[in-house]
Amino acid sequence: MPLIELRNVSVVYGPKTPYEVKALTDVSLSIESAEFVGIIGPTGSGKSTLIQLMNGLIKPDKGEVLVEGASLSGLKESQLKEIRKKVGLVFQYPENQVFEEMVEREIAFGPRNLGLSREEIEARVVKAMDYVGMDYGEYRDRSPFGLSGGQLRRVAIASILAMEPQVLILDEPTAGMDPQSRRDILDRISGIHRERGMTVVLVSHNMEDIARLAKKIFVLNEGRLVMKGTPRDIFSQPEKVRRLGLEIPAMTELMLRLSARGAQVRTDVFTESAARDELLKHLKGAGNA
Amino acid sequence: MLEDIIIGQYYPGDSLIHRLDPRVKIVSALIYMVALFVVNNLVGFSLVTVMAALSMTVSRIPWKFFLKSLRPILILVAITVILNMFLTPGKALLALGPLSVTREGIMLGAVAAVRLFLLVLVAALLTLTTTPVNLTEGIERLLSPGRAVGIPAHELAMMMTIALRFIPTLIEETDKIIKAQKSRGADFEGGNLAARAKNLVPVLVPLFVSSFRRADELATAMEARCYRGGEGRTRLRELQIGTQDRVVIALTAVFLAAAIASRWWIP
Repeated sequence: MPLIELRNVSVVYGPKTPYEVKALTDVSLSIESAEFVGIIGPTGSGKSTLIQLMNGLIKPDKGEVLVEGASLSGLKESQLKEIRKKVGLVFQYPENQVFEEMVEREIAFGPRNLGLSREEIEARVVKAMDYVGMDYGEYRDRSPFGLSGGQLRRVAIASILAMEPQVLILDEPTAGMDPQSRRDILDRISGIHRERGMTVVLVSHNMEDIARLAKKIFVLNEGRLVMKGTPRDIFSQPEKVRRLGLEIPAMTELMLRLSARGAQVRTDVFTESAARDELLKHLKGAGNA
Repeated sequence: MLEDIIIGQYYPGDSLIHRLDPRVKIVSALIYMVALFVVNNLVGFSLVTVMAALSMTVSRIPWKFFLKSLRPILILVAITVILNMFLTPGKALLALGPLSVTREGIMLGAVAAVRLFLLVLVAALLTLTTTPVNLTEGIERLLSPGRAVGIPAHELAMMMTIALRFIPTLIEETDKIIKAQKSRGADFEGGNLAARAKNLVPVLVPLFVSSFRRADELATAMEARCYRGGEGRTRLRELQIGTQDRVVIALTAVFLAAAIASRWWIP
């Protein structure tokens, strides 16, 4: 049984007005437990709508959304709360939702809404801050509004992690961050995925990140699911990806060009280190020949 | 729920009303509102009702949008009608204890209801057919003679432009924050009044923070483009009164005359 499943889902904003927008059209997909899924697509392709369907923030106009095999259609707000406990959603620029005076209270907001005991809440806050790389003792009573943008982003992500969801959905979690924090955040997310077996859904415009981290990729364009598969499946069709206005990872591009000039190299390479290994292997092979 | 806010919402179109000069539309709407309170008999009320219906038909905006604009005032109208029904002295038709419904009360209530409905409909017609930019430009031009007596026409219009410009942004932002807090298990629907008010804190604080930041950024951006107020400022598009506008002005004048006539010459 898939953890999250969408069956022929369509969403229309502002139906029958001049502002009508077909956000999603007939999308079907499924996400298995403990998977790392990437969602890519040009701006306005329906990525944000798609992830908001998954925790019941948006209701589909057609089709059905299922979490652990149970349909979300017709659920009341109190029942959807149970869904949101399982499906944690980190919005884009999550620092814009921060409101408490203290970091600790901010992160405790989610667990508090779940009605947990005081000890449990504190334990979860400590753990969530550890996950995002913030020292509990140092930051617990600082004001979130005095933190740097990167630290605030960590607080916001921790506030979802503290709810200990089964699925973590992140919408561009590293938008506007410097390369080092970007890498750190993504490494921590993939760490949580590996160590705790948490299912992760990552929406990103950065093809390197997606290709490196995701095992399965969904490609959206104009509200339709146009491609799906492993990073290898997707990026072995560079023309198709580029036609959608998306890039392919720089290292894949390099390998594709080398291969087009007759070099015998693998083209399903996404990271610098893999590209280096492949090139060295090729050069050695060429030297021997 | 937030999508229902309609005031200040423009409905794109190319009807006669859409193309009118905003000054003409504003003045005509104001004159219409005056006429609404001038008329006092059946002939007069028929006149203003037909006029409103005609203008709304010419605008080619679906009726649904006008009906939607009436929704927020339904309670106000209901209260007005009920108060009028019971509190107007006159011939009693129905007695409920110490209170009684009077014939005069029903009449007064009906008149008030018709006036309120038409008032809101015409205001909605104005905002539905005029882009916010044109609307504030029209207001600025209409107010500009008042500069001599110290009315800051340009500043008022600029404030309105900015406020209107940010209504959709704020709605969108509020929607996003509500969704983000719902994702964190916040509940905005249950509980008593005090609990509900308390639940709004996680929405209002981020909203204020981002509004202040936005205002600050906007001021910097305006200064970076050398904004210094209205003095010596020229426009990309100048408003011009055309034939259509003259016809509408004449029509409005005739309409006002008819409304006045209906009050004093028809018993």
